[in-house]
Amino acid sequence: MKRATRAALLPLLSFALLALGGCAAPPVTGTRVILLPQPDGSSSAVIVTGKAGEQRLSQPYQRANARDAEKAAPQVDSLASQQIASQFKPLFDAAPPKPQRYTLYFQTGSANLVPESQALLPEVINEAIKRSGAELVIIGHTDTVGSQELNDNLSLRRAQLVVDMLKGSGFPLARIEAVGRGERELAVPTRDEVPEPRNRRVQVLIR
Amino acid sequence: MICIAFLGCFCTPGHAEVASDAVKAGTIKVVRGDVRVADARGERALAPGDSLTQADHVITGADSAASMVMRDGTTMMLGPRSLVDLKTFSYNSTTEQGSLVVSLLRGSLRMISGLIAHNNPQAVAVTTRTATIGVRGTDFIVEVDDEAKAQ
Repeated sequence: MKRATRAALLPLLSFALLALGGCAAPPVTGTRVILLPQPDGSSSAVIVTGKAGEQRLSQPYQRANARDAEKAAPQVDSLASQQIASQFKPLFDAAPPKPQRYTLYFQTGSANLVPESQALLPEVINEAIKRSGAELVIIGHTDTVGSQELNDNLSLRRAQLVVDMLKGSGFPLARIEAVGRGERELAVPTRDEVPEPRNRRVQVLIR
Repeated sequence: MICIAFLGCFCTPGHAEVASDAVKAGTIKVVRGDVRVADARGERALAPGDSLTQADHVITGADSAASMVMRDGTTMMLGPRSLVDLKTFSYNSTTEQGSLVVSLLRGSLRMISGLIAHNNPQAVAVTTRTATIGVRGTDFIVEVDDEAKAQ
């Protein structure tokens, strides 16, 4: 910018700042909440509680307005999806990509993965390092044989084995978390005390 | 207030790494422009992959934005000129139970709820100066006016 133009802009700028600083007149401040649709179209809701009552938003693009000086429950109106997309563009642009999941299986009675699962590990690392600020969550699962406490420990050990396999891969260990879910999340539902190899697995979540 | 935020790069060189005794609550994913964290030790710039802990304040400057994922998968996007306080975070990854309360002090926040809300919606809330937002399995935006500007 040329010096002359800058000099010409200065008074304008200071006027604008003064105007901003001085506009204490309409204190229509408060909180606005907008419900967005679920990616799968399922229903959802938020409950907005203001100083003088609450409102439930259950339709996408509804907006609740909880003003500072409100004597009633938050007011609700509705916006067009395009308006939200443009007004809040940074909130959509900065979203991280969807997580990716892999499932790994161990050889029976062994601390080694089956060859098909072993072969996936380089791909897991490749996908992880592509992402901004990626984490790996390694989630172990068991079948229903044994007590819950035993299975919590076993599933965590299973996850830890996979973490160990990823050591030296170049992915930062501080961003790998091992989780043991025990027998809480069966891939194949069974009764208690049923051996089921498909439930003895480790999920890898890349996010 | 905003001016202070702009000037405030109190980058203390001794604290580049997050102390390991702090329990990790989440991870910074995308950083656009000026994104900082303020905690008991001061204020510093955030980069993708950095850890967040309970009580951290995440601050964005003008034309800036950030996203973070909490350990339960709750995803939050922060718009420009925003300040969010990660007030409460606890999480048991084995049972997938915990609690999350964030306070939006200025600017805009989008939250896509995670496993804590999935398993117990009552355990997640977003608070502002004028409202409390309860989550029922959701993607939503919260926007608050800057109190400093209003006065």
